[in-house]
Amino acid sequence: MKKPEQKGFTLVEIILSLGLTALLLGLLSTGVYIVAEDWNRNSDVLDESLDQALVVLQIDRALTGAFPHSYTNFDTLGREIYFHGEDDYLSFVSTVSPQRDPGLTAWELYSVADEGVYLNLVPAFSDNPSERLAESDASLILPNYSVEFSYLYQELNEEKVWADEWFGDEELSLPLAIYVRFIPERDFADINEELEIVAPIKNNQHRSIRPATNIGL
Amino acid sequence: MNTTPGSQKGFTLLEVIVALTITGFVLGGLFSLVGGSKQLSWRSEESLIQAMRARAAINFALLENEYSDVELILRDDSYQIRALDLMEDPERKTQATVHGFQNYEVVNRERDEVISGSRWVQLGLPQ
Repeated sequence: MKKPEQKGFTLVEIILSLGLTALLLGLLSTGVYIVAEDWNRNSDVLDESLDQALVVLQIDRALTGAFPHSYTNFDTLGREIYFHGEDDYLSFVSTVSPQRDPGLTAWELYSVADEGVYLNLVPAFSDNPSERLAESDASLILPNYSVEFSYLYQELNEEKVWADEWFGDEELSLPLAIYVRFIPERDFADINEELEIVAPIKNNQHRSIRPATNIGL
Repeated sequence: MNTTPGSQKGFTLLEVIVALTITGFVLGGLFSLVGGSKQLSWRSEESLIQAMRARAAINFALLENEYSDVELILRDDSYQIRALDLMEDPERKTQATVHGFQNYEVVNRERDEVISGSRWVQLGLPQ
């Protein structure tokens, strides 16, 4: 029996193949590394920021469509305008509703520490909607954010300045514009971006209720 | 075991190299596809936020529609508002005008974006 000639690879061939393999592996692993790095940003970041953008747009629209809704105060029997704005709380009536309901909708926005920004919606009938707002359940719209409001008004010297409160029952009108700032809570400051809204209000005077004077706060 | 010579034929070096290279290219292509889609979602998230900022800046520019100034409030300064010249008055007027038509620009230097629009401004004196 003749033993078959057992010819192995030459040294050059082995070095060449090892070198090529190393090169390919290197390329592959850098590819994997880049992809893995990207993966670290949560895969649903886009979904979340789409939701955020929609929420912010809706609030923007609702504020722009704010309406000087009036009701009778049964203690004084006077007509008052519904708008309650503080620096961290806002409730107002708008012609806009997310479900496109006919009629007016009362919006309530506020933030709860360590949770986020809540939104509460009830239909605004001809009365004061604050009782119905208190009974209805708010929903968390922007987790891990807090919110800040400012209200634009015109001073007697024609300058326009931002105030941090606005009460419709005192001013008997709506502010000229509302500024909303959504601030990411401290632990989330590097993940979430600060979001800002400037919403001009066109419809800030009631058709019959007039502010007594040009109010400066 | 008895084997006839030639029946145990392996791959040649060339074949192995070609096979490895093809595998490498295919895998690399797959990875870059996945990575690309990730980067796309990254960029679209970024542009969503930019769109919100631009919207706030435009709304603020529209508030500045009178000769009196509006107190600045936007924290984000990536969009600068620039008022341009008033547009020319029509040749014939039936009444004195109290409003002028003005062009403005909202400029983001970093991203090299210019959004232009026009707004009514109240003139200091009727013309």
